[in-house]
Amino acid sequence: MKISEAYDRVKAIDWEPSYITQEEKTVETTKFHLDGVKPNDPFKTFVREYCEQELEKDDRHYALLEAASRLNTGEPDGRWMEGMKFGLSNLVGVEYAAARAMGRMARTVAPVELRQGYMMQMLDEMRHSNLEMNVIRHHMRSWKDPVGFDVAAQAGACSVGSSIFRSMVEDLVTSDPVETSIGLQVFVETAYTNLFFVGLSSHASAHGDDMLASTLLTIQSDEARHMANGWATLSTLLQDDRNIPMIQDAMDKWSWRIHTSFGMGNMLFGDYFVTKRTESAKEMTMRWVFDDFYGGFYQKLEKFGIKPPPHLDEMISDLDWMSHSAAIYIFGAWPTFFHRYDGLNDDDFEWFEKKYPGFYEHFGSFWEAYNKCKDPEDGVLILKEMGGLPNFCQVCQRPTIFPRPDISKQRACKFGDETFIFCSDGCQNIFTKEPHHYVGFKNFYDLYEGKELSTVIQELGFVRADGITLMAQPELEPKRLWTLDDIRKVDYVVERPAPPAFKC
Amino acid sequence: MSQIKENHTVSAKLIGGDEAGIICELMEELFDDVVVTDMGSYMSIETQNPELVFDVAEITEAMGSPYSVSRFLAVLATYKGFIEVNDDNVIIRDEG
Repeated sequence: MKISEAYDRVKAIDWEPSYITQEEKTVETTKFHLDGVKPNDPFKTFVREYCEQELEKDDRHYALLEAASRLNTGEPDGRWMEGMKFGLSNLVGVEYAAARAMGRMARTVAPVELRQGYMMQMLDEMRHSNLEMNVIRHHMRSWKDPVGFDVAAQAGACSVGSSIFRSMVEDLVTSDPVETSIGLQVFVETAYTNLFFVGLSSHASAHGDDMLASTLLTIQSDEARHMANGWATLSTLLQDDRNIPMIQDAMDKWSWRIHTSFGMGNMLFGDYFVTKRTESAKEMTMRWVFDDFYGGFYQKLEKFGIKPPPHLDEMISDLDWMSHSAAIYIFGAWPTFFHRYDGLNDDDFEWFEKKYPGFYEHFGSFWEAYNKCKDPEDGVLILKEMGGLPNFCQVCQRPTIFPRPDISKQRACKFGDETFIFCSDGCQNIFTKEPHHYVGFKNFYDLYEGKELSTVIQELGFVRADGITLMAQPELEPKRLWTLDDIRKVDYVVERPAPPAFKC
Repeated sequence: MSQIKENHTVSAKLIGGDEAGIICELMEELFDDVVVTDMGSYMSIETQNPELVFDVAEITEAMGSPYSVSRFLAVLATYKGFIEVNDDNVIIRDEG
């Protein structure tokens, strides 16, 4: 039977139950209008076809994983592998949250063509979590310092850097279910995952991490269908003019929200976890996100009355400094993480200055200081030397040092009796529209203010099996590893900085 | 749209391997203005034409063994444009 014939037959099985009302069935309602519209599923997905495709993908990928566990294919690059301890820790939770989001959408959105796509996507997201856990397991068995990979899933739930991705997915899974489709399928999966899963797969391969390259590509082959789900949802919504202002609101919010989260992750991984350098993360983002997505996809929505996102110019200019500001935060706070980093060397400086003119003037001093704070015998901690961590944005949970620490757009604002801090106009506007959506997030200071750093590290669980040595280290191959005692001697207590100037 | 230029490139990225290599060679042979780039872990096929058509019958002949839309979708890592999956082909178009 042909795909189209089987697809139509499967659709005809759909029925409206008589033993439950529409309200009881949907549980969560949506503010978007979906009655009387004609949806289209460009992939024509149904279970038989779906299982056949996924089996084919899994057969190919897991055969490679099995072979890699037996063969010695050479040692991958240390900076890349250590960076992936942090990188992979964030993915599993994001995928699982996406699966939850798809379940909500399948129950909320009535047209069967869209529901089928969402149901398959829910299964995909679970598959992705499994694939990522399996590559973490592979790295635990094959990488010379497996510590850090073993806590990846736990770290995704508690590390200060992962707050950025946690807050993103918590926002996604608690928004209107159809708005979730715009955030997840249009912005995360159409705009940004191409760069991550396809673009960064070249980096993984170039750095000897073939298993991650295969994992990223087999995941993105499902994302290709999710992109089609996003377009199917969007093109269905666009048939009813009453949806246009709500779509615009969702576009305005999620363009900024994903730029500050997934977009920032792409920039950090693409520039700072590599040694074999080709394109900069800025060049990759311009090509995959701004040329392909905004120039090739978003622009076609203008004929429906959709305007460009309000912060588009700022999103582009942010790319000049975004990876560098993210890096001084992540690596400046290294003891609260669970991976090693070697610091930048002269080759890195030269390349960064070429790709990002002005890099050394603004960030060189941090890296010179970092390189002087590596040896535990010296008792000097870069985190203390830089004056501790900055404030965190209540919406995106980034530190308020963007686009660059000296030109930060941080501000404070009162809501009720409480003071909240934001990194930008974009995040403050999002908060102002739905403050109750964001007031509850506990940031690093809410959890650890007043505690001495070694206590914080112990509470986070980022200590090796001997109970005294830190998982994270500020060097790939140090002469001696930092211990909790070394940290205690530095005597650093977590202090919340004063709020920035008010701008309400 | 501010600094953004309209972009009408249609592209497909295939997971690297023998299968991707055969499909890329075939597309170069069948269509003018198709640019294939080896990106290491994946192969990129791009055109400025309004569409890219991956025809299962043509691919089957090039492979020398039975092929299907499902198998093609297993190596299609991503695409730029608007996709349509049919019984005997997969089309990626500039316009949705």
